[in-house]
Amino acid sequence: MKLLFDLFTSFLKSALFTYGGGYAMIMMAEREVCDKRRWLTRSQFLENLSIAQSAPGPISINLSILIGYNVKGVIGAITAFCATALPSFVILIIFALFFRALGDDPNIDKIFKGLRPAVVALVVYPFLTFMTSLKTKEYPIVVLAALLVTAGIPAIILIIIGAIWGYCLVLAKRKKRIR
Amino acid sequence: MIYFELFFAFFKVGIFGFGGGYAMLSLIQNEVVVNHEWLTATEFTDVIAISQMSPGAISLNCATYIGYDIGTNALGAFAALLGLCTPSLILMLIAAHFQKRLKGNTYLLHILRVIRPIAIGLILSAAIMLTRGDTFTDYISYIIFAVSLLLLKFNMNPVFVVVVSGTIGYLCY
Repeated sequence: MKLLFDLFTSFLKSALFTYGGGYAMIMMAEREVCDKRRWLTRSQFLENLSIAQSAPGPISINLSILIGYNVKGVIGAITAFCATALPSFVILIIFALFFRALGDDPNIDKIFKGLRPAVVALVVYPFLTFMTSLKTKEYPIVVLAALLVTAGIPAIILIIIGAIWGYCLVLAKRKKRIR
Repeated sequence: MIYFELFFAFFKVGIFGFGGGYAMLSLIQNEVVVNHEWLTATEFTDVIAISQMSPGAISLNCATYIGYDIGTNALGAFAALLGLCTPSLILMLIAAHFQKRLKGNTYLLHILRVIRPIAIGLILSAAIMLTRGDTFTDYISYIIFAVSLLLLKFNMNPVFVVVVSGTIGYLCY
């Protein structure tokens, strides 16, 4: 019971005190899980992180489920998951109530007019940093995917095509090796 | 029923949302703005701004806010959030169980390597689609965009960027 409680508070803390997206949360979780509680070694943590990042879904949620499972099985996974999702759930409902109560306040409208271009910057910036991690020959795929999705092709279809393509690449490699 | 619709719309986002929060924005936008027409492009941009003001992952924040807004109560928020996270719960429990065998699986590695640039392309498309709302209305908005990029470049926290741009908007409009 004590362990579950610790899991809950560790992940609640990581989710609650990290502003600015999932990556900030990862650093906080690493400090809690590896240094403070010593549940996992750093290399175990990184192994879990790489699975969490490769899988679909919110990275912070994936990571908390994996670590929770490593610490205390299925019940640990659910505990860590709830702790990670709880702050978003509570705070955004409060925000929704707040903005609903304000209604069409012209001052709020002014603030949002200022926020909208900043939101584009907040999305463009991680895009630019991710691009530096790619090889030049991968750039056309990025541009093509962006253009197709912007033109109205569902992103889901591109992901499925990518998965099939990746699978075929391995099959092709295996064949070469056999010859 | 609206709760089921919310659950399944975000369930789809959870299954196909490779590459983290920003890549998922494009999927969320497709469900919420294009498929279900729950929000306009401008309203969606505002939801992202609100999501950035709160701690926690941006996709979770987005799902909760949209769920509450569309479902009109906390149950709607819960349905959307649970829909988004259910694929993670299933997949990660399986992955944790088979963790040792998953290590160095070449099929998985290749598939993920091909999906990665696609996921990064999705972030670009999310940015392009965000400009379709009333985002860039005059020269002030371009200045705000440039200032925000610079602040991020100098490692400023996104929340700080939100505060600065909101203040500029309040003072200039």
